Amino acid sequence: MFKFSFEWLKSYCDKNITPEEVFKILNLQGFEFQGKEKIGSDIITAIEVKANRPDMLSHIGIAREINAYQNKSLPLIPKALAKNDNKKFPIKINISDEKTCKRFCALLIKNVNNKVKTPEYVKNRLEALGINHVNPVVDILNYVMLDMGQPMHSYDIDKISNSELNVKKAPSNFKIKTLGDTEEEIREGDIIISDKEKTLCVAGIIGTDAATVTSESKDIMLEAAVFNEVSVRLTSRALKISTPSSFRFERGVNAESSMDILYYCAKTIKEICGGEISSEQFNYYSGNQKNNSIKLSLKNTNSLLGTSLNIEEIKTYLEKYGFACTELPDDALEVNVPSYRLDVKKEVDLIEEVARIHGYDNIPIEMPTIRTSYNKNSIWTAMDHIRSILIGMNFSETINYSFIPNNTMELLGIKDNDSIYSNILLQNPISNAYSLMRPTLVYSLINCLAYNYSVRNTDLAIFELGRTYFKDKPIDTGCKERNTCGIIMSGTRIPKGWGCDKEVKYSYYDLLSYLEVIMDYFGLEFELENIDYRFCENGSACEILSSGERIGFIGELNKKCFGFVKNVKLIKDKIFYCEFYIDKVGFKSKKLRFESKYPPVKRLYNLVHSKNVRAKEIEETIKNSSENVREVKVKDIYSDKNMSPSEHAVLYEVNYCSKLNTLTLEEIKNIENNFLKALNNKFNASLKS
Amino acid sequence: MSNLEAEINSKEKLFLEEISTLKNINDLNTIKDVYLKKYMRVLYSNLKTVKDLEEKKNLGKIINDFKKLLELKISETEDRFSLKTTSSEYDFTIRKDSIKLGSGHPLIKLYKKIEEILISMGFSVVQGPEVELDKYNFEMLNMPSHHPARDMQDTFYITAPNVLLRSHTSSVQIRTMLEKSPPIQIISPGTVYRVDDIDPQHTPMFYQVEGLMVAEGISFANLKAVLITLLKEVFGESIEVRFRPTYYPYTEPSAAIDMSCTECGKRGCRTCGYSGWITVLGSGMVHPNVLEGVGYDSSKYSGFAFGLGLNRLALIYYGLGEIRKLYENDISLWDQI
Repeated sequence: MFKFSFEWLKSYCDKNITPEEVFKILNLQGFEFQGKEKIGSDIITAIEVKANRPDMLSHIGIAREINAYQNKSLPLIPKALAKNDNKKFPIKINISDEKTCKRFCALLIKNVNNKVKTPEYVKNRLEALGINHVNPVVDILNYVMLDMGQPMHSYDIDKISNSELNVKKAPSNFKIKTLGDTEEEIREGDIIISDKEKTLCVAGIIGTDAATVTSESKDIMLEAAVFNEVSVRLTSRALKISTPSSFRFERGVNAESSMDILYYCAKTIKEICGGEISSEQFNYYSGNQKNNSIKLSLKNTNSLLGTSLNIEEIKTYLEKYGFACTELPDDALEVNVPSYRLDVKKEVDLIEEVARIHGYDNIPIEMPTIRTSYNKNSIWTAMDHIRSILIGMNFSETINYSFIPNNTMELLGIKDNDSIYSNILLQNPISNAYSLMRPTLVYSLINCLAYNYSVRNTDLAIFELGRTYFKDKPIDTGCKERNTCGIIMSGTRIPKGWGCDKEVKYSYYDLLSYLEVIMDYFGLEFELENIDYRFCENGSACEILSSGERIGFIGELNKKCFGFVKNVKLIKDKIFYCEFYIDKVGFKSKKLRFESKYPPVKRLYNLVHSKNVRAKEIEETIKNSSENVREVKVKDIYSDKNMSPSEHAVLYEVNYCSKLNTLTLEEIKNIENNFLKALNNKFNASLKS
Repeated sequence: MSNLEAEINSKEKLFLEEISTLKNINDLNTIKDVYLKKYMRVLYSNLKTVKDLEEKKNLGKIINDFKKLLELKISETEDRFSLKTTSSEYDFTIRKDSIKLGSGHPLIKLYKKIEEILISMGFSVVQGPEVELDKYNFEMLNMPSHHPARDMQDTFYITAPNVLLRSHTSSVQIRTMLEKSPPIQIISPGTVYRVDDIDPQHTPMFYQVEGLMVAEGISFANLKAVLITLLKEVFGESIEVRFRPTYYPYTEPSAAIDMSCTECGKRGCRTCGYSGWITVLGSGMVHPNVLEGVGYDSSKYSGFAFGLGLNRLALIYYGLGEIRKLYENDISLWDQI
């Protein structure tokens, strides 16, 4: 973000320009308006300047953009008088290498009076733009930085020992006191500026007290340099210090104009504080000052943009913005990029510039013609189907955070050899409550259910289609992610009323049936096998296995284990949970069969048997008793006082049908007797009296 | 007038009187019995005895007219007494709240609208990992380490600096391009992460969909056509769409796409921050560095990419006040949409 003063900007632009025009131009050219504030007669405006346009972090930069848009001449930075002879410069400056520091310019001013007052307009503008007033020299350095974009620094020559400065990387870690009087740790490799004894500056970021210019200072040295961008950025991050200077160095400063701006700044200081600008200058510039020129082809421009511009139009556009163009024979331009446009390095950068100047809204609209092949994404489709099925069955969809409390595994008693165990932790979580990449959705869903109970949404069935995360070395990220469907339910499924004498609560059997419906839809055969999960009620937890592979689990949640979940106490009924992975689907091919033209007969049998006998075993026995038994279904399950606690009553419905004739009562009686006898022998199951 | 005719006339008077003073629905059955059954039988048998053809024809008509009158009046009276045909038995204003669908999550509902349009334009859906490598999330998207643009996407790390939680689904585009050669036409939906505390207007997690089209001759004009179509399909033909220059390291030229505010129609309101416009999409022509990085010849192929964050859009679309609510999952809110 960059804040600028409208009055200041106007000094470079058309005198009649209005703030609204400025905002509109900037907004359309890609510098988003972020707010404004009226201070006195001035308007302070904030715009967003993206990382590619550091030239827009100055008033002159913004003025260039506005004037170009309005077809007016671009403001220029006054040229310095070039008289540099580094050897004659009274202070010996050693630059370690060109990678550390690309350019280093210095000037001396002797006999300044830094006790004068900073002019009001400078003070006011700095204050309005968020920079503290210090003393005239420092204020003017800051002012010129906001004006022209070059960060600068000043030194009290008397405090530089041995008249020697070194720009170098710190040889080891050490501590310094910065201007804010805070102690900071400098790491090996950070760029520092030091004299023989002490560190004067963390390059491009902040100075120390050691050679700082105060109101007492008489002879000063001004510096305008360009330091390594990445290095400034890393140091600034490590120190957690961001200054207007470091902000600009990180993004890039135009090395070409450092000397000009420094000289302009020195002249301004002289005007205000008096003193003599010494005739010696120090000017180190590693970059060979070659022209940055790029070839731009008309064909490439039009084909990327979908436009039909001609070479003349493009030339006019670019020249308006300070790019010098020479026409080449093959419908191309040789474009000379102005030095402040650090972002323009390739042909495509110029094409973007052309698009921007032409106006995005003036580019035509044309549907593409493209031939791509059909790509199936069966997992994605499967998730869509599951979502529809669940919503159709009155489940509601939720999305929960992928990170759960760091101690969830411990609290739920999930052991490191359990398949739903994981310890993928974030290194920088927002808090410990959001730090483990979840290997199961159970925490997320019970937490969400409890939240809903707390806002009076009771009797709920909810689900989530989300990812779970597991360590897996062979995968490039070291992490396996599974698309997982979790469902949770508690409370009343069918309320009392409308002919129903008693409310019907969600039960374990509902859970099993919902699972069956979904699995059946995808043609997945599955089996359940008991497993010991401490967070589930005794005997309720089962793994879901499909073709021998573990694809999820079900269970009734043990509320005591989830005591750490906020509001869980509000849930009074049993909580049922199920989760399964959607990484395999196969659609069952189902054939329609016409079974028989004779009418079927349905009969109910209320059988009492041990809880250890599975309904499936009874069903099989009944089915196998005759080919005329077409189907057996469980219609109810219950127990009462007259039964032993180890038994329960199950109501089976048997569907009889023959392909040969309408079954007679006698025929049915025969089949019935057969299987009842068999059930009694095999399972000690008998009709309830 | 024959005797019979006179008799019918007087019977008719009697009938009309009886039926108009009827008090009880059971008495109607008596009337039915007396007139429709018994008396009609008498009349028809009398008719048989008439010899003169002309007279027979005349009488027959009178008898039939009388029968019609009887039937009409009886049926009218039945209606008067009957409960069956009136609206009083059923109250059609009642619904059972137990018969209903569950509710979908607003983010997914909105995404599905978008997906449907893009799929119909030929895009296919591709998923990728959320735990991602720095090289796919940043480096190959023209954001080498220490690139200032990385600041915009403060990232969660699993093991710094290489394994992180993806900060956008652009990483899926890189993975897809590394696997396949052009033409490419994909969308990659999913959850992305950026370090942010949880408060009413911030969450550390978002739902995003990104799209990519790479082939020979794909232009900025194509990008405009696809995205204008998408926005108009989702938000209605009447919205205006504008393209502004912006900067992303992985596209050039890059465009921010605004649509006219759906709340105020460009007059300016709280939703659009009084600007009349809402920024909904980031997009641009894929940077040649990105194409070259995945081994595509950037002088032959070009393409565009776009990204759309659904959370903020969902707030606008559904008029929800807080972004945090999207992950609180208050089902009673979801039930309303």
